[in-house]
Amino acid sequence: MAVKKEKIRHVSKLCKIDIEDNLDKYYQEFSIIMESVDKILNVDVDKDMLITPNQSINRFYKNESCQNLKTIDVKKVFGKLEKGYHVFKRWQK
Amino acid sequence: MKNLLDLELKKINQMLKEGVIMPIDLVEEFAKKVVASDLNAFITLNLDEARKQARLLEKKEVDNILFGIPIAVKDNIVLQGVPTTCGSKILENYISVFDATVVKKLKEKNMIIVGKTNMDEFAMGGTGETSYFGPTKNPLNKNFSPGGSSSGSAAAVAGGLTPLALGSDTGGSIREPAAFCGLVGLNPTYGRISRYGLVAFASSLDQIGPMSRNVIENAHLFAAINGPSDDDLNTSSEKPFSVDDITKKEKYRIAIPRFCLTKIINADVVSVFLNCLDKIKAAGHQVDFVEVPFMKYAIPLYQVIALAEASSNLLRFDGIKYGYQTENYQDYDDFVTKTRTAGFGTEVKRRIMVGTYVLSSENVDVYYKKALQVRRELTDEIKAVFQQYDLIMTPATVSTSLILGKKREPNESFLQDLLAIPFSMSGHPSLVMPADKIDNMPIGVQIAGRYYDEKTIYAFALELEALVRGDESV
Repeated sequence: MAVKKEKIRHVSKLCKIDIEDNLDKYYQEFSIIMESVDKILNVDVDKDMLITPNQSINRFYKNESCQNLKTIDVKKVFGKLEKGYHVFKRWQK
Repeated sequence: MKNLLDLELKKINQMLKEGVIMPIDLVEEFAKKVVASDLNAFITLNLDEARKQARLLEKKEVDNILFGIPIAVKDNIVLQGVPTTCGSKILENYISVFDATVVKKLKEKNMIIVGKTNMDEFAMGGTGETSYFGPTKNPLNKNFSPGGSSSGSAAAVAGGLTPLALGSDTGGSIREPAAFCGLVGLNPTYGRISRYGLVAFASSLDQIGPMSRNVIENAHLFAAINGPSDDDLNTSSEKPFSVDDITKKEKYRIAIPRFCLTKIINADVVSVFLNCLDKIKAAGHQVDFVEVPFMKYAIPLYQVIALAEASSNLLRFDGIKYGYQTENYQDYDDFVTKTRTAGFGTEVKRRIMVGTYVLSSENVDVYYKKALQVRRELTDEIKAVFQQYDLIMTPATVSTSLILGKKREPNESFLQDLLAIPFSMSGHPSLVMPADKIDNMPIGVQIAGRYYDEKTIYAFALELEALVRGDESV
């Protein structure tokens, strides 16, 4: 998806980085990277995202401090990393 | 006595035990070498403290192979009372107030930390050239890059300044410089080593790992720093790796993703890799080509996930809590903007902006969520290969080392990590070691293993090291 120059200016403001003096340069470089990134847009995926980075669930399973996790449907409960984290923290208490 | 630091650890250890040398001799040799060196491998030297520690060690018993050995630590790993810059202007004057867990573990083994090594700014880069403190040179040919982002750690070891170094790896930052400098570098299983005290770049990928001249010394350093840590919830409670766990197998089943032969990979690199496979097959191991189709998405995956996480992690560098501050400003926004604009280098600013863009509300599902789904597919593919094979092998990099000072396209800094990123994404351990040389520059191979199975990687790497050397006793 083509990125507009105005969008990059907006993003730079969000990042609190001033690129006005080099806007054209950043625009070109940004566009090159986004062209590469766009390769994943049309990939067919039939699985949901990893619910936590990498092996986090296995690690939670194996962690003695949260053995209760073995008894739940982790995938169901850990819909998203953020949600899972809060569940984990609650059980820790 | 000269060139003690070039000796194998085993020999140094024996000499220390026999009292032929003292730890201070090793530190003084390092000091002499580093002053004479033009590699720009170090940002900060820790010589006064190193000398003090070496003197203290004279009263202690030599109780392990790492005792008294000088080690270099990448400058994104904190050491109390010593600057940690991450290769950036924005942290130029930041002095850490605590030791990283890995630093504590090195100290427990009585290793001597002699300095903090140069690196690409915030570990973002593959040549060492994005450092605010200038590029590092490759000791094997100073016109070339040592690779990055752990450029200084690789140069320190390859240049004979220290026998060992710590690097960090987010998408190949230990493995690529190891390959370019003819070293051994391990990116361990995600969660094997505490990251407490490692300045975060992309938290679902960042790892600390050992860099060394050979396989067994790498294993010794890994054994010293791995294991659970109360400071880092991400560390695994798996039984920590020990060098004694390394046991040789008669026959390894090794999978080679067919993607490794793609045209993107330099023909010389492919040729060295195939020669290496011939040696492995001749030694009686099973080598099969397999399909891992999602490997081809490694770079865009990394560009979305790593940069999204980086944009979030680097928000903390606003000039208020750490490091550089602008002097002239009107209000809070102006202060933070001027500080970040002047404090970060071009590569970092570009990556922060791309990360912020893919996380924006209109793009988060299109890019970020999709990337997480693709990551899952890739991880499952790699896990499926490990159901049938002990190891996966690939070339370490796309080409040999790159010439310093050349203008590069924005995507070029990611390309060398094409074959390293898949294992960073899946969290599997992988080790890079030298396989041969072309035009006197090293070419490495990568060996990946199952989760927490570094022992099999090391066992096979020891055998491969002997095969590459042409040792017929293997």
